[in-house]
Amino acid sequence: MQDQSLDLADIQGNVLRAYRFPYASYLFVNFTSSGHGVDFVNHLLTQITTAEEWPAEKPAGAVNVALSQTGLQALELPLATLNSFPAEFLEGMAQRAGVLLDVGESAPENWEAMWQGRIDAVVSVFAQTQDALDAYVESVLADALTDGGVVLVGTQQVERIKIDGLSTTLEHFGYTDGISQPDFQHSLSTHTPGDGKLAEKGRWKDLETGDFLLGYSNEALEIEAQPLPPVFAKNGTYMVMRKLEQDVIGFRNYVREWGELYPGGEAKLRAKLMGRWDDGTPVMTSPETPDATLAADEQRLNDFTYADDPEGIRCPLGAHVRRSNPRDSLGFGDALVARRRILRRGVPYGPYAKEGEDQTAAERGLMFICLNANLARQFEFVQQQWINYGNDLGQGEDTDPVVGNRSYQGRFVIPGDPAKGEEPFVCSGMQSFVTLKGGAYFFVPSVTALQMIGSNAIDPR
Amino acid sequence: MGNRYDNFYGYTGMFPVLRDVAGEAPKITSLRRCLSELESGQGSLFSRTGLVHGARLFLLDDVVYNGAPSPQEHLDYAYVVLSITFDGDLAELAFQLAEHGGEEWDAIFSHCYGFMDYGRDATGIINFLSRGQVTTSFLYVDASADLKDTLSALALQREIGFLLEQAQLLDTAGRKKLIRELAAKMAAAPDLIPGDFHHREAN
Amino acid sequence: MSNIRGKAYAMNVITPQRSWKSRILRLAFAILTLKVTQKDLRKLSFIHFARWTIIPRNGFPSFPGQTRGESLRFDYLLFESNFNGSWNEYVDAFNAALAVKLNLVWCWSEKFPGSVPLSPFKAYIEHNQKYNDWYYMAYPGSTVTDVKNAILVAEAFPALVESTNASEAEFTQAWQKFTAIAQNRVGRSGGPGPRMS
Repeated sequence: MQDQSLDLADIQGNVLRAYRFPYASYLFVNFTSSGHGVDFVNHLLTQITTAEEWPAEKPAGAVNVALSQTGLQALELPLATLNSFPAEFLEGMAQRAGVLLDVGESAPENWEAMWQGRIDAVVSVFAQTQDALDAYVESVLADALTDGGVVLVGTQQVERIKIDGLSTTLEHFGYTDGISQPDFQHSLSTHTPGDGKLAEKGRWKDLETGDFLLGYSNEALEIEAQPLPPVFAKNGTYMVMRKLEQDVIGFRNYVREWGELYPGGEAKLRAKLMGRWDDGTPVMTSPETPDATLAADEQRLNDFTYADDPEGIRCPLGAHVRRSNPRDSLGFGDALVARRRILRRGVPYGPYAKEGEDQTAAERGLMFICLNANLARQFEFVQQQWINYGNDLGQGEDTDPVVGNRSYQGRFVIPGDPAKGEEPFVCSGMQSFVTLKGGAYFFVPSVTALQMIGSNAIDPR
Repeated sequence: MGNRYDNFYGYTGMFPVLRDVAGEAPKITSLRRCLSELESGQGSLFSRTGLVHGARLFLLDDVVYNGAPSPQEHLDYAYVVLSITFDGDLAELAFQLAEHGGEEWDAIFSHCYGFMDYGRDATGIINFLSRGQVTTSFLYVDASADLKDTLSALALQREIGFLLEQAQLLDTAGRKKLIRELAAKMAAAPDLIPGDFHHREAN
Repeated sequence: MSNIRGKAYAMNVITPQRSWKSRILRLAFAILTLKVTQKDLRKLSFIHFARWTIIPRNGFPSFPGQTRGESLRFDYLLFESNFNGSWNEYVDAFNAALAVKLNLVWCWSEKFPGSVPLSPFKAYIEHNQKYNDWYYMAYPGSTVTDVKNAILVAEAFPALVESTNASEAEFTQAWQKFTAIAQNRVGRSGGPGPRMS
């Protein structure tokens, strides 16, 4: 029997398919003792949202939980299990700063206080309305906080950016976000061309489930050996959280100033930096103008490859989307890229900065969240090799123009088309537009794993 | 031929380490310390030859056992393995090592059998290297230029980035001037010493 | 960490191999030496240089003063590579893109598990790897890609310089030709690169 169906009731929601609730709040907690932690896990088990299909309409909200290395330790999991987690998870994101190039302003010593301290678990609460969100948060925290067993160290609310009362899928720099998501075999999201990996004749096929869910065969054609025991790991995954503060004013000033110098104008400059126009049209497909029809067509929006554009004339080699997912830019089809995909679940935070209004004081950015089965091979690799470094894309040490960390004045080249006698346009003096305010790695356990924790039933080896 | 690829030469040599002498520090320990203290940046042993792209030294104290059903075996001697990828041929390298190898070369290989029997001149060195050589079966090099040209190309590349930035806003006369200035700067630049990093210039 | 020098990693792997299998491997190498079969390696563009050396069991060098030579059952296959990126990235790339060719070279070594799937392959390399005691790289801050790009730019530069003495039209043409090459080849380099995880 080749195809296996998943036990959806065992997998936490938001992994196989994005919820798309307009409001969410992340509650960061610590356990004061393993007993209290276990009680809290059992309490959450009564409310956890799984991957099961919703019967009729979308519920008013959802609840999920993920545990950090300190959380697993505080819950007193057996040492053999704790030690079987991968090194990067055990070290934690702060200690991986050198690997991720979270240096300078983004270094852990500059993070917000909560993120510099211990965080055992994050409870993610999602809802349709602010009122529903408040109600869910209350029911989650309920008694857990009153007897002092669980300490709430911080919260982070996020919500879709609203412009003139209408909810959008924009992020704060003004680009449409969340377009591209990896299609994997058991994903419950719509499978659209361009989201999977390359098959013959320009077609696409699904990625292996094992790159996004533990316990299944992955792109390296095997099942990950960790963590142990396998029954504890199966149907779980890892979550990366990064609070990315965006310097919207700085970015707008930069594209305005350089947009005046760039022959294509500001809108096209923005598109070349990102690799997509503001409405999501890929520059690879439509390098001269955005295309509203294309942007609205899921079947075509993501269906493109880069092999026909080796000199970056349509989409610059160092543009953000080309760096995040090089597709077939690196040769061998996309064999070198297929195992570096991440499932994104981030949502913006902070008020939208309307042009003309002084919003410099407000903090805003993206609560970046992604899911993957192997932190080092997927998220960390992309961050270290393609975002904050550029060798594979022929960019040397230059970092991603939009989200890259720069301690120096960066440069971004928009190649010219020699066939048209176009010269390249070099953006220089680029500062960092994004600063990391804090982050952490979490393990998203399956329901089985949560039950094992809740009944202290993980056998030591 | 196995050791050559275009104008590159891939040399691998193995030199048995002297047996320990009672009362003296063990040879392996002494050798390890020597290697750990050896410079590896600008002006170091192979940097001075002006020919070497990359070089490494490692101690092969024994072979590895991968488990049953293969039988296990051991080496009677430990070896210093020297591997060098360089421009030209062994004779040229030997000449450079005779000129520039100096104390470091002696310090390493005085731990090895027969080293003292060979002269320190180019002939002595090439004979020593040849005796220890194991022929490469398959050499792969992803490069096309010799060391000198590689270093000067890298130096120029660093400047061209700034040239593009600055020339962008200038007219033809301005651009010509910048190019000529850069050409003069590169022509006047001293020979580059291999082996080190280049720090970002402040702009 | 002596395996790393800036952006370059030096890997040595030495594996036992029965003598009769060495003969087959030598044949395989004769084919691999043909440049056409090296296309894939070149496409990967992160290996500065690499070599395989078969050390016959009675071919370990010997010098005056030694009482005897080695008496071994196996030949030894020595693999040396100088590449950019981390150990994990390198092994991963071979597993993803060159598994078949690698198998052709390493399947003759004792207990080689195959280059697919990934974990047993990684374990084998790790187990048979010999760390460097000393490593020198002439351009540690530059990757294979940096060098290739630099050489293309350097080859194109003289024509540009010459054109500064030419007419406006000729210079403009030369400038366009030069920038078409240089525009994607000026990524900054020279630094130590990302910390290998």
